[in-house]
Amino acid sequence: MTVVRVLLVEDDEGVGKALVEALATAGHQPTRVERGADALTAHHRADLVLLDLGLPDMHGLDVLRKLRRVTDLPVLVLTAHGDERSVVRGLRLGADDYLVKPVRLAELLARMEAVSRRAAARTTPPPTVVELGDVRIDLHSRQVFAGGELIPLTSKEFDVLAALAVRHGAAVSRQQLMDEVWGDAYLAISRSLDVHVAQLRAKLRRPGLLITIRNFGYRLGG
Amino acid sequence: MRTRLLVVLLAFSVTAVAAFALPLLMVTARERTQQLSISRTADLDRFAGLTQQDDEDQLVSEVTRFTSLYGEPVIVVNAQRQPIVATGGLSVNAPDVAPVIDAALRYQPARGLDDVLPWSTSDVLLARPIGIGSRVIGAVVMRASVRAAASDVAGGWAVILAGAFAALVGCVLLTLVVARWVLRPLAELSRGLGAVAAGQPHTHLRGRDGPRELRELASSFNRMSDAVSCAAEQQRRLISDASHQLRNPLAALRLRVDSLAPRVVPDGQASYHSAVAEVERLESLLDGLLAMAHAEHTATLLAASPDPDTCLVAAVVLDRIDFWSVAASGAGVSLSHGDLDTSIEVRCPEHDLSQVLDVVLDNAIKYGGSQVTVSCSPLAITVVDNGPGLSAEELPLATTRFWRPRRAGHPRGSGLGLPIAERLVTARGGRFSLQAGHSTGLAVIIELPS
Repeated sequence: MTVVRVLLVEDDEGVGKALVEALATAGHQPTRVERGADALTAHHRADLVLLDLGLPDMHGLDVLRKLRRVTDLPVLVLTAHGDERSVVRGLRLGADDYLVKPVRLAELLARMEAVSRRAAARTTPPPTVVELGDVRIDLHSRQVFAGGELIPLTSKEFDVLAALAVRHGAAVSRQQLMDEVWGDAYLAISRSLDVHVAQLRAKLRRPGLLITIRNFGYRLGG
Repeated sequence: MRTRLLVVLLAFSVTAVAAFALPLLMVTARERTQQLSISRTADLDRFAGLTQQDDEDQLVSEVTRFTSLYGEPVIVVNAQRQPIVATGGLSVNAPDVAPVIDAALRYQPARGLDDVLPWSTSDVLLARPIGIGSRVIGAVVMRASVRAAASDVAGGWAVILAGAFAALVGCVLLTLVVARWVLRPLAELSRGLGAVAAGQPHTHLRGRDGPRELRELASSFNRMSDAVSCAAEQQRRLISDASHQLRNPLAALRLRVDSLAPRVVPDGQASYHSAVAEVERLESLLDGLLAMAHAEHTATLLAASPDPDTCLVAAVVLDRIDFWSVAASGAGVSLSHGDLDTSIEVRCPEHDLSQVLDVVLDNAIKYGGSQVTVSCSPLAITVVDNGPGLSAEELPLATTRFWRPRRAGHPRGSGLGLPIAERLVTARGGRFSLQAGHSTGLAVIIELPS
């Protein structure tokens, strides 16, 4: 695992210290700031931002909005349970992923790694083949194999899968999917997306591969 | 109440109007009858006077003129019942006339006239003895017509009845106005109570109409409604705040415990895993409390203004089956779907339906045997398992907060899942019910308005 310089924006003393120690133990280089304003000046020395939404000086989403104006740095949002609205707004404002507190350390590290990997991939051209477990998606020949077996997909089903596959591990909004697949982000019959996703799941038969993010969209792989 | 009030007030007004109108009708009839009697008696007296003066020529000419003028026949007889003058075909021996002449010759007092009523048509016989001193020298009999009097009485009665009818209409209108004045604030109050019972926050009555007592009641109601809303809001906020405040220490605890994992000595592993399990229980309890507070809040908002958001049931069901199938296969449970009607949309956002299905599927996988089936028909979404199910006593308790079945070997849940699911479904105007399965297990039935 590569060493990641993590900027932790968290005002709670207990959580902050625990995170700093846990991340250091995992081999990363965490720096903690308590205020949103400090995050805006400290992000130059970081590879990844862990952003809590409840900050003393400004809302975490405002920090995110201001960060996104100046940097593409991967941002992981930490949020409370039941605060789905903040999650969705966070993702729309350009957060790469979100985690619900309290979070397991293993999950935190896995998500951090996925987000960093994707950030690194941004600079390289998009892949022609995406492999997730035993599922192999060939974007060039428009073919999908699961466990070595060719899965017959309709053209639209493949388009949906492909749109998710090029951003695998990242949340893709419904609007983005509909725009890319149907050419209309605010399609009146947005239910057809649900139907295509349901059919994709039935054909792939890989539970947990295609994850719904409520009120936002979908994510392929973890 | 409206009907009863109207019946009582109307019965009273009918009685009052009748109590005035009926005596008035009788007095009118009697008065006209007396008038008739007086005028005819005067004529009889005149004829008697002429007879006493023995002025036969004058008598005959006046009687003849009277009859031709008024059309009422007259007969004057002497003491021997010999007619002196008879006009209009009146005869001494006519069956109705003879007894009257006899009675007059005997000085028998004449019976007063019966009251003339609008429908009276039969003529009346009026008789008067003619005497000088104590000796009867004859009698005069007249057949008087009551038609003119009857028509006068009919006219009088028509006026009185028209007046009574107008008074009744007035009473009915007044009654309706009074009933409306009293009942409208009550109807408003009843609507307000319905709204409070449905959980609509800060329901207020205008309380500007009606009697003072009802206006005071309305303002008391408004104060009560505010107090109820405040209490509910404070309770929800308390749960929500407490859960939020617990979130950070718990997050820190979780990270510390996870960091400890590689450093626990073999002897401590058992205790360590128990500690992790307790932390997880705390987490799920916290999630449950927050979800409960959120569901209550949603229910309050929905009571005030319904949400038109809908979702496609089959898509949500497939999504949730996909999500839970990892946990299901881990627990050795076969999670599948039965009939799925793909056309059904229900009036409930995807997010809420997912949350409800998550609770039900989580329970089914943890406690529901080896086979869990989800199906959806136009009427309901049904989740059936083949586990031990719940007894008849336990079924109604399962949706009360913090209730858990008392059985050994069960993983302990938060006791909040089913109450949250029920609250979410009922807030959308649906029904959430638990039933015993066909042979064994539990059937959860989720009905939502489409």
